[in-house]
Amino acid sequence: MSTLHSFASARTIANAVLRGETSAEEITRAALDRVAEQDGAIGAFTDITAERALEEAKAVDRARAAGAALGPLAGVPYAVKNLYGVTGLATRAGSKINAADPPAHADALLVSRMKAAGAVLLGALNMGEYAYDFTGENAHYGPSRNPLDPTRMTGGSSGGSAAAVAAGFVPVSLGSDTNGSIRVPAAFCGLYGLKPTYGRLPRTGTFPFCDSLDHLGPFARSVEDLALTYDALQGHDASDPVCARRPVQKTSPEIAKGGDGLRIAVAGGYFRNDAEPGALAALDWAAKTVGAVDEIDVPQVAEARAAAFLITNAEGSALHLERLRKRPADFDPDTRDRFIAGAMIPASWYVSAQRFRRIFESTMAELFERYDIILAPSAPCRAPKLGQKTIVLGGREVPLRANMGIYTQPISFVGLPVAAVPVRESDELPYGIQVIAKPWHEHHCLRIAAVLEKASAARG
Amino acid sequence: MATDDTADLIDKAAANLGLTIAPEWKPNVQMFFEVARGMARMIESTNAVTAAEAAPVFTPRSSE
Repeated sequence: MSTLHSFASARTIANAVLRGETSAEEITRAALDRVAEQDGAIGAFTDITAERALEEAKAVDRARAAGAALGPLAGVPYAVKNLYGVTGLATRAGSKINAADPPAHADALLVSRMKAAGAVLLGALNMGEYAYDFTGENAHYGPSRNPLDPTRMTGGSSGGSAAAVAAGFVPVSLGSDTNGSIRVPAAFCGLYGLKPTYGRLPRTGTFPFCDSLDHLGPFARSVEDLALTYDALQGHDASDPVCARRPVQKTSPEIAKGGDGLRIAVAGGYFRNDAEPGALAALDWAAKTVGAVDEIDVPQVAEARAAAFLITNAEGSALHLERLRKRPADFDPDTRDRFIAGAMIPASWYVSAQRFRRIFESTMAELFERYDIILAPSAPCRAPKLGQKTIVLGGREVPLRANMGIYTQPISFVGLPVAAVPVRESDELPYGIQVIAKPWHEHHCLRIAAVLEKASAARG
Repeated sequence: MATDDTADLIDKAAANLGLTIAPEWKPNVQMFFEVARGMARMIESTNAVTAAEAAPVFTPRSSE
């Protein structure tokens, strides 16, 4: 067994491998053992790539023995949401239908970049079907269970990505976020997550959901590991027409700079209306910690959420129309009926939503002339119980699935970068905070996330 | 639009799109369509229809 404990950070593992204190193979075997022993109770993985993982680990060890330079994630185990292409695996995207597809003949680009950085792929992770989900439940593969309390949801749709990190199977994982699918699970599982600016990370080789809103990003248990992973993922790729021609902006050197010079506001109004008192207390703690005094009322947030809903519904349904025609009974019932309804949306609704996106982009740009960071809740509540269908928000009982993303949807709608930060008191389940910055300023998000992380540790 | 009209619209749209909707799925499909319609009304109440360029602007690429 590796001498490193199961919750060792990616940085610690990479340093230990680099110094020869342990081998990548030893780390990998220990991680595979943990998954084999414990994942039956969690449901994070749908596919385990043990043979590949050991080959990748041995390659890292051979490189070290030969004196070659090692990547920044040398020997670090990780896993990916099962909508990422992984050579030799069918790209399930959480579905039964895609599980019968031919195996991917190539890795998704971000998987290739993780490999180039020395990371070791343990497998593919559970998710809500076709990413149309905020719960982490799945009718075909069972739910991913929250490692902090296995009777509760991980959140979704990147449920397995959060569960694998929170359970200590891997220090980092990759997920996707169209309307909140990194930020909500990060909140429920007590993790850090990064949804970069729309167009920052290439989606090449991943199964889409909604092209206009799809983002990829990492999960980690620390801001340092989040930045380390994100830095390994950056870089333009022309095969994704949305990917921006931006230079790589390393964030690891930035995170220790603190919040000095950053103007920070707290989102009020819409963002306070339906949250549980605990979620608001977490937001207030974060605001006080980073010295945010101004509370701003962002105009037309409800309309932004509505537009994101329509674009997602229309694009996702168009993507799956042929599957809805041929195999509707093979969909998860929790996604099928929404997709069918979305297939019937008039084009004028969709185009109006896309036009409103331009208006809301301008609204947020004006706010970011006055502030560098805006804080908001990630979710209105803590992790709900598995199987729960409704939740009381603002004194009203509302459908749970539709309302877990009320605070995340308006932000990803205009592609702003967000660090998801957990806030937890003692043994209580965590709440989550969104640290939102202007486009292409992920380093600002991570600087403030690091300030909050340090303050959380001091709070105990 | 009244609920009966929505049910009729869904039946006709399903026929046009080549979709088969089992009877037990219809209440949910109808509910989700009505949610979407409510969302659309919110957007239409803004000036989005005429005031802005739609967000997905196409940028032609060149190998030069």
